[in-house]
Amino acid sequence: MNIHINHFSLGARNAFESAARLRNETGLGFWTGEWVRDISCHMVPLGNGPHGKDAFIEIQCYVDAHAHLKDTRPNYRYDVLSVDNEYNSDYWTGLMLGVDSLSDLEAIAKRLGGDVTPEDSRTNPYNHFQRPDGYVLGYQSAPRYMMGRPAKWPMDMPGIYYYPDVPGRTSNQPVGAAPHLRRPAGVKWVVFGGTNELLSDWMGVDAEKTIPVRFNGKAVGVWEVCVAMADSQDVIIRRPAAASVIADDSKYRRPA
Amino acid sequence: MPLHIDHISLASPHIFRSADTLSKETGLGYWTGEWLRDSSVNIVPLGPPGNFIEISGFIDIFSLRHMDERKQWILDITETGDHFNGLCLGVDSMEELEAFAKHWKSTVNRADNPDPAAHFQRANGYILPMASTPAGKRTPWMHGLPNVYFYPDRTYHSSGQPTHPIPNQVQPTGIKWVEVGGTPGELAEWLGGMRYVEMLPLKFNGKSLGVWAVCVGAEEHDDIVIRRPAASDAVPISKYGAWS
Amino acid sequence: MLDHIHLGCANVYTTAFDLMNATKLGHYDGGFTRDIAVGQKTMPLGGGVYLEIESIVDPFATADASRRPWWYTRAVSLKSAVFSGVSLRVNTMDELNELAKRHGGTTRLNVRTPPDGAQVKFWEAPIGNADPWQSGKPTWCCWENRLYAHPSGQPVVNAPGLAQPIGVVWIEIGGTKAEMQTWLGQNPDDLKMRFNGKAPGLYAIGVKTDGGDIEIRRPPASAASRS
Repeated sequence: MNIHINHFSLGARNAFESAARLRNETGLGFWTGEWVRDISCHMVPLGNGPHGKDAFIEIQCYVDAHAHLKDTRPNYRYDVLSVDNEYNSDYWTGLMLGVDSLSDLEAIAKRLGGDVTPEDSRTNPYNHFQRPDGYVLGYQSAPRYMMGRPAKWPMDMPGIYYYPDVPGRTSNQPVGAAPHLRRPAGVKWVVFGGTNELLSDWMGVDAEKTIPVRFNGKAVGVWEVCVAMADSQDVIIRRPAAASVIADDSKYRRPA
Repeated sequence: MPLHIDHISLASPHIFRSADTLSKETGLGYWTGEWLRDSSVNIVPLGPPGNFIEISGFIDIFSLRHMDERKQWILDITETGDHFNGLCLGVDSMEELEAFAKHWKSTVNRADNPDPAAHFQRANGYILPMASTPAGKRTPWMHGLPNVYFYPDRTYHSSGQPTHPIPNQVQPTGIKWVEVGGTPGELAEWLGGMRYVEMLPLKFNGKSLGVWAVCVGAEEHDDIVIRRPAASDAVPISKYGAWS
Repeated sequence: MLDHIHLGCANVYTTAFDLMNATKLGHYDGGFTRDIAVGQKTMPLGGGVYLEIESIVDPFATADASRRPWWYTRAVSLKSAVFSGVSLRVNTMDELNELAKRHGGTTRLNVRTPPDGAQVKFWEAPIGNADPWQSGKPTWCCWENRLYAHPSGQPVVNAPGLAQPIGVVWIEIGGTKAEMQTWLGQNPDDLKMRFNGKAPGLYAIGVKTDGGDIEIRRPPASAASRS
């Protein structure tokens, strides 16, 4: 089974400002227009994946104020982003892994005691990434826990994704032109919270030997992403992990 | 050009869903990524001489932790969906803009304000210099009344930027008419003369003030009429008294 | 004011690509012109000015010598892209008609069709028996109410390392200031023209960018420069 880094999600209060700031910081370009449910995404391709499967960062912000105001349930991401930090309250909200087949995804889901989300992009586009040109990104992910995540797993363990349409990948879309762009050449390493033991238990393989990950023992989630650049001046994108500002996540979990 | 329509604002509860709906309804393309403070605008070019609809909405909901009258108005008018909330006129010189500012006993929001946060910023890094009046007071939009803009550099006008490709896309050929509430007399009083009203392709429906529909020509296609209620239909203008 | 500068060449793709790498100025696909044998890459220079880089894109037209633009023939013979024209912008058709009349010509609609199909149009003058560009003289154009879609304001392709162009700060012209002033009917200083005393034509332009000033120098295509 080939498990690889698929993408990262970066939560922002204002993804438009966050993406521009990231570009000023790193030279990494982005494209706009893709959205899912009440979230807008600025997509940052990171380059150099095998078979064109480059990783990317989706910088996300809420765009439906009414949906937020009407939702009385505890909202993990909203509460995280409410906490000020030195990055205008940007937080890494996810490391997402990828597999190359539905059967691989199903095997992982089964091992983790969950199931796989349905491929209902045709009938339920609102729940999928949509682009202005009408393209709806078909994907499936795991593990989905209908009855609540098992307590042994912290909130931000990586989701696993299967994106069947490789040319249609988010990372394969052209970024918008801007002055002083730099060409990314792939994810070099990731600093993740927790330990190799925890992530390996989740992934079912030795994490450190499978993906370029290192561990800092802090709150589980992404802390740093090093992107190789074609001009050889690698960039390191540092933002805090979402879980680092949530002392007690119990109210966000559904009862098991 | 004499006083002309520059753009029309469509307040939306979810600018991507609204743009997607509008593009499927009309075949008009749009481009994304422009923003100003807590809001973003998806721009729908309408063709020569350079007009557009800006589908605008909150993209920083954390800004709502500090409410003000304008933000509450936007929430209130988008509670039940899209509402046209701004008719934006244009002039071709600062002198003309300042004349309107003087008429309204107001000032001008300057195009050369050095603070980038005071301007629309685009995904490509372009910061749009745009002057407008009236300034520093409650926006006349909340009273269903137009304001006026001047662009020192029209070569980057929002109406001329390329759109995302969309299914069954049509090429707009320009605004044919805009349906507004109220009467010509009411608008003439606001603008300072019936001559200004006569310069604009407006139809008056006698309903509450604001924009109710926009008709756009399109190449090899029937005219497109985009009908949405005016903001004053959701929140009566009487809530705010007279503009001052 | 300056509106656009024409750079004729043998291969629009490689010329635009090489110029982009040399100057760090981006470009985009301008499509094909009224004469559908010619294709354009457009390079915004900032300040409402752009460079139109053109070559033949129809190989059958190359076989028919009568369909080869004069500047294309010159670029091939010089084995170099050539500066083939300067166009100045006026705001109204009244001004353009006046200029056409003063120079014994008429006006003509210039049409270009970009990949997305929405045609780019401007009126140009003076149109007569002789093309002023062939003798190194600028022409004029008017965009009427289409300035909102001016080529200088359109997005370029997303190549890495591009600079932000801020405007043309000077242009180097052959001939004399007095001759140019007679042709233009205005002081050439207003158009940032410098005169090198050589045969008439455009020799170089200076462009300000956010990465410093750059100079683009190419042979002029105009006929007199051959002697």
